[in-house]
Amino acid sequence: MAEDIGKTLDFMVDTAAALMRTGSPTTRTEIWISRIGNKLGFEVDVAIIYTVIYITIKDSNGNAMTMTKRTGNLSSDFDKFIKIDALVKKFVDGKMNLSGAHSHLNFILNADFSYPIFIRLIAAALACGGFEYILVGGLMSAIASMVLGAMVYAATNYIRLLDNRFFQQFSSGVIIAIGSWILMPIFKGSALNGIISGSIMLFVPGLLITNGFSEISQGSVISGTIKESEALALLVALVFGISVGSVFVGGMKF
Amino acid sequence: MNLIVQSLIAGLASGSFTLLYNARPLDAVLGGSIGFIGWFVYSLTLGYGMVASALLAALAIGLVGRILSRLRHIPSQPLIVGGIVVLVPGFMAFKAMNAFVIGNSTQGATMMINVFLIAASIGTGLVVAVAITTIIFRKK
Repeated sequence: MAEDIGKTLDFMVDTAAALMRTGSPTTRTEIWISRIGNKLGFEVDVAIIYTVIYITIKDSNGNAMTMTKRTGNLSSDFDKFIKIDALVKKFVDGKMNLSGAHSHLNFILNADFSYPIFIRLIAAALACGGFEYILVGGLMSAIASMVLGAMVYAATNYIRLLDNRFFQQFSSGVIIAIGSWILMPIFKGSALNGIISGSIMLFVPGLLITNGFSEISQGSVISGTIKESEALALLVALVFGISVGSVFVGGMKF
Repeated sequence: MNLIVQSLIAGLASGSFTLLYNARPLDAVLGGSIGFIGWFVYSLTLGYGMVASALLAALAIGLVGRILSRLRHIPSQPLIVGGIVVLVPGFMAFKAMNAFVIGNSTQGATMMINVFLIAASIGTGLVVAVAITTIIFRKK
């Protein structure tokens, strides 16, 4: 029975980490993990505090086991998230056994479902251009934002100097400031304010701010507060990067 | 007419944004459609103030996102993220922080308060939408 507890806990911890790494909200992950344990007849206590997962399970004989796991950097991969979510649903509905579900989870995690680079760059360009057009306005600024946004997205996602988000935000800010200054005379009629506003949209942690508030209001106060703090740090890094970049190009006013 | 064009562009931007997070094409299209609805509601109700219109738009996004995700048997997060990304006060947050950096603290503080109010209203709109749909789905 002790081995069953171990295997179940392994699966629960791996599933929780996989869900959190692919963009699942904290509350939803906690509910799914509890259901997995309950399905196998265990009492479950689960707490997820941002990147740390604590799970304790107890069987009917009173044997208990606890496991803690750090998930590392949290990102979003909606395709994997949907696949893992469907897998957990199947397991909870009794359509899969424990070992089958665990090996399928590992298959999903190791597979690469990402789009080719050119599709991602086009998407980044369309997002930046679209945001610039609706938030500030101006066709030439939108086109310049598309070019700059795609360039900075490629630079930060494919040429990673350091696996440090703060540094990535900072370097994105520097590239955006210098790039917008270079692109402004090329795209006649564009405005510095507009180009920057569009290009920064992929790097501004607005989503993190909003998700943080959602989590606080749903009861995950610590997780939500940490997200707000991280968002603030990332925002500071981006703005400092733009400030440093603007020093190189002679100062800018927004 | 201008409202429709702007909403279409907002939909395109949010669909593209969803694609960047590796959503499948159909989910990206749905995320884009929700972005269209969100911006349409936001622009239509902007007369009531940015905070109120963001709340109403987030409520609309949450409701449509939850219903579509229920029909598709997928979690609502991937669809809703695309929709709310056009509402989140990212650019205003940037401008607020920039005001602090250049020494204009009063303007920065005013803007930052607005940023947190808008973010809170989006969060509230989504939570209310989740609560409403949970009650409706439970009755069925």
